[in-house]
Amino acid sequence: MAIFGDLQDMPLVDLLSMLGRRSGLLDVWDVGGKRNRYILALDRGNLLWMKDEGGYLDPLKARSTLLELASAGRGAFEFTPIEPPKGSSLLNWPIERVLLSVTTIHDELASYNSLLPDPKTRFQVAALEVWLEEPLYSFWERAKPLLQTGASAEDLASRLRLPLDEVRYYLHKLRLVGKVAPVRAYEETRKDEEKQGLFRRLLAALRVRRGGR
Amino acid sequence: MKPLKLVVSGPVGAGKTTFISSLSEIPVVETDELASEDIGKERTTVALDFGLLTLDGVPIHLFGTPGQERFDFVWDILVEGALGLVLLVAGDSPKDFPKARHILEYLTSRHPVPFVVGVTRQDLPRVWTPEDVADYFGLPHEQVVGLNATSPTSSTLALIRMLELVTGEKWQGVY
Repeated sequence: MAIFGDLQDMPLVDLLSMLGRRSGLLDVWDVGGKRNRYILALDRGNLLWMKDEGGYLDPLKARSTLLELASAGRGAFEFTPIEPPKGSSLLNWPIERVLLSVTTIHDELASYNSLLPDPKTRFQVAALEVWLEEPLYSFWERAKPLLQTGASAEDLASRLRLPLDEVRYYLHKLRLVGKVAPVRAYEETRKDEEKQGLFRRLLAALRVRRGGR
Repeated sequence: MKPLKLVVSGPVGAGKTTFISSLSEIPVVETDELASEDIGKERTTVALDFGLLTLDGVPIHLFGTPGQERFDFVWDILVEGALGLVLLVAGDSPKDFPKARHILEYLTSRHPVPFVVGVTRQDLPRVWTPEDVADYFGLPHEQVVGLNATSPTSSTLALIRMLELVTGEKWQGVY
């Protein structure tokens, strides 16, 4: 007996929920009409590891891929019930937590869309000591070196190879907890004495104008 | 002397054209057209507004950006090399605050331009205070001023505040 189909008929969250505590390899390919292939290793209710053509996925990339799979319109799949080989990059995530996390992010992305920052708005680190939960923690760890000097969602998506909207979502969440703040480019510039002199001159003229009107 | 440039930005209906009118020494050059979508008023700026202010012999070109997002490609062009930015938001319209913050952060994170946020319609009874708007924007209170865009004095005070912030000088008068 084979378990196979397409994500357009059976969304990933339904599929993972159905697979439940089974062990085996879930092969997913041609996701969203692209030439790609992912393998998810499931072992008695846990997601052990994930791979794409490039190899094992780190937690951040794995979560991003799960989001992609969960929102993909199309994607063929087939489940092979075997004892999955132990991968070198273990996630070992309980599947029910994965499902919860993926659906939460998926829903929040849709509802926050109008509040997400512009892809070109630059952010920088504002606080280091704030405690974070997953998946924000994994994103923060990867993005922190780039955010030290200021980076936009576009920069981060390109450097971390993540979908742009997902990066905008993470930046929005990090901003809510005070971990990042928008760059104020003027504060980064060296104060030009000549310009400061001009500003003082204009200020004096404005004060006179204000007094005279 | 080469003219300087001051940019006035903000969402639709924030009072940008009115603000420029109250400061300008010439009739404001407007590019109003009938609004193509429901934005709460019949006409809106589609390219830019232009006014002129002369201070101590220095001409300052006042440019107002269009408020609708589909004209946002104009923002960068106008802000490039500007003396300063005044971001206006209507204090009686909190639905516009996210949009205003979006514009402010987009521009000020990419262009090294001093700025001040002006909260308009302070003459109305039910309106957000500048301090509360500053908290929403995550800005120091002194960087947000309340104003009535129809009043030249009030608009001038917003410019004074911006220049005070960049020079570190304090206004000795009474607001």
